[in-house]
Amino acid sequence: MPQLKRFLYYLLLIPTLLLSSCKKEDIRVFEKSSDERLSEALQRYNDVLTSAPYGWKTIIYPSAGGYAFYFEFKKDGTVTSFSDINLKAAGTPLKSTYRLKALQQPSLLFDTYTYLHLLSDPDGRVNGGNDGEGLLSDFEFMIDSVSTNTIHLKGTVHGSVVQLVSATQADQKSYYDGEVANSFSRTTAYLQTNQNPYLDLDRKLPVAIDIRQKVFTILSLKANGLVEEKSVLFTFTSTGIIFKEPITVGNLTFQELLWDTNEKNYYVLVGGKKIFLKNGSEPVTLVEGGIFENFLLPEGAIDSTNAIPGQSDEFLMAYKEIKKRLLASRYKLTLTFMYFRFNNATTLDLIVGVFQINPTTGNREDFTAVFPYTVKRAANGNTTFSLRAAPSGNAGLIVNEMAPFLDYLTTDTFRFEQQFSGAVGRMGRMNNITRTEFFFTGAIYLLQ
Amino acid sequence: MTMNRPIYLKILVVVMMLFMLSCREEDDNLAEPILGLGGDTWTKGELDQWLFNNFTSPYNIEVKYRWDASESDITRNLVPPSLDKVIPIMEVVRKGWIEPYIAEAGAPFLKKFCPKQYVLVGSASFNPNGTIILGQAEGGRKVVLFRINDFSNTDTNQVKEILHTIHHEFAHILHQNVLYPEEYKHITPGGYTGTWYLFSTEEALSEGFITPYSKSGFDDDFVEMVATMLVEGKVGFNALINGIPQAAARSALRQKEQIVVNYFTQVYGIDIYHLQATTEAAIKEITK
Repeated sequence: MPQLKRFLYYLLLIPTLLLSSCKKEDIRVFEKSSDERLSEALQRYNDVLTSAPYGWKTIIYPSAGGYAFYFEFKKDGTVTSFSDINLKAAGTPLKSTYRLKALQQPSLLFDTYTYLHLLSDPDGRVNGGNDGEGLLSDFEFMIDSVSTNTIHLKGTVHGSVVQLVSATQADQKSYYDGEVANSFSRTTAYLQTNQNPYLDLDRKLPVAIDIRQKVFTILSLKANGLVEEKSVLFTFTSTGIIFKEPITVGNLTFQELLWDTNEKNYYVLVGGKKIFLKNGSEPVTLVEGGIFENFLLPEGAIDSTNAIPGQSDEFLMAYKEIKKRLLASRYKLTLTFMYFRFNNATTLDLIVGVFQINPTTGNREDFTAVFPYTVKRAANGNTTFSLRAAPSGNAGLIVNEMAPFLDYLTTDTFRFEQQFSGAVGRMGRMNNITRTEFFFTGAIYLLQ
Repeated sequence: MTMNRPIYLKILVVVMMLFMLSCREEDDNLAEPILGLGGDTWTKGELDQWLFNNFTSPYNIEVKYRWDASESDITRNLVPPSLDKVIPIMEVVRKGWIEPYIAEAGAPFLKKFCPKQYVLVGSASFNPNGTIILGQAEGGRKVVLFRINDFSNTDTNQVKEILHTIHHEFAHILHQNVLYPEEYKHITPGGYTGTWYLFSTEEALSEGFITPYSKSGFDDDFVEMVATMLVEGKVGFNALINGIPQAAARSALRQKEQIVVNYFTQVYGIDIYHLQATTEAAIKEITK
């Protein structure tokens, strides 16, 4: 009976054949094909984009800063833009093109140059980013969700998250009537005349406004006497500047600086009361007689157009003298910087930078000389310095040339003052209390 | 019993055939359009019409100015061109390259060899080594022009730079069709290097190369010669060569020049010195 058995096996094969016999019937989960739905979605998105009566606004945060944008999409595929990225962009409408395209996902492409591309431009001169990178911001976006007043977009290359919000008539007007541009230019002018702005609360709280990167900074003192620096990104509005999120100093919380046209000054509105910014004739003192912080007199700090304010005549005389002596020395050195590095409460390394022109190559060759000091600070802040060891190496070679300055350091008593200027930033000032006509100021860098 | 086996098989075959017949295939609706097939579409404006009238219709050249990431290097950060730069740039292409060649060799020559697509990019393309790319060609079909947003037609250097790129790329197409003589490669054989960008123009000239980029390879050397001859004009080109202190370098460059001249005459029947004169006049006209 093996044949019959084999026949039965063959019979078993028949059901498998049934499986291979196909009945091709389109089972559509959706009523329409994916292509039809895609083209409908693009059409619908375009309708939403073009039907917003007063256009769209957004704030984009690339790798540095944050910038406001305003877009008006038209049915003919053009888009008119404004931005607070620079004065021209804030006041001059720029027409470019856009299109909706099915990439991996329905996408919105700003496909010719407009203000938005200033952030993406790989030329570092345009936006301050690295060459080849720019600010790593997108102009090609996947459309994540769309409603009549909000569109969520995600950049296809750098993942920029952009939320377009339908603008109001007032928003539209603020750009077309040049109100944002005015805000931009009057802030620029304000900062030129007000180099040391501060908020006068229970004490002076200095502020800085960085127009290029759109950063507002305010400094205050913590309970332990240390300086606290708070920064927040802002954008320009018709009435002033608005922060990305509220900022709190002491018991004051605010999110806007508003402009008073009569006073020609900025104020913070708290409980219906205007607190105006004030301007100091000098940088605002944060701490006097406190612990020394590392500070730097950079190259050009004394004798260039970007000089740091707060150098006394007596200091300048000593400075010029050491500069002259170094140049006349055997090595023909040019003084570049002086860096006061406080390693801890009791030691200071004064690092002096000099350069020499190599006579054979004509190239500049930089050297540093380190002078080691011991720091003795009394409880009241009075401080003296003494050499920890005899200067050696490069320092040993220029110790005589540096003497007119170093002698002050080792014979007199000093106090340290921390200051802030909106124009320069944080500064450290050494005040000589033995010979009070001698003081000098350098920049404090937070990261050292 | 063994006789029966073929019958089973026959039955099986018949059954299988029946099942195959039972397969009912419904025709897909082939008339349904595929989204995006045939390229991007948008409402055509005046600019599109201008490009069509001046490039697509007469020479079958497509000018792509709207951003399409896939047309250039997707690993680079680039930006699209400004609308107001498209016509000025393409005027340079037309007056400084198309028209001189047509005047010299006729429209059929240009239509036959011209790259069929121009892609415009707003920014330069930055290389990791710090150099930038101003133009790129792909297989004689496509030319990508970079950094057009900085363009100003009164800046002679800039106009020359763009035309240099275009003539450079077009010369590539010409030698890809008929190669220049082998002896060209033996004039300065030792100077070719991958690190050409470390050399200044003066250093390149002193070794018998017309530009640093000519040092990157034989083909680029050849097309850099063509582009420099055409863009700098006879006077400018001669001044460049006569200014080289090294006699050997001068003679090497003169040999290269001679090969270029012969190549254009023998292969394409073009008097390159005449083409040089018309190109020079065109540059004057553009930058006026």
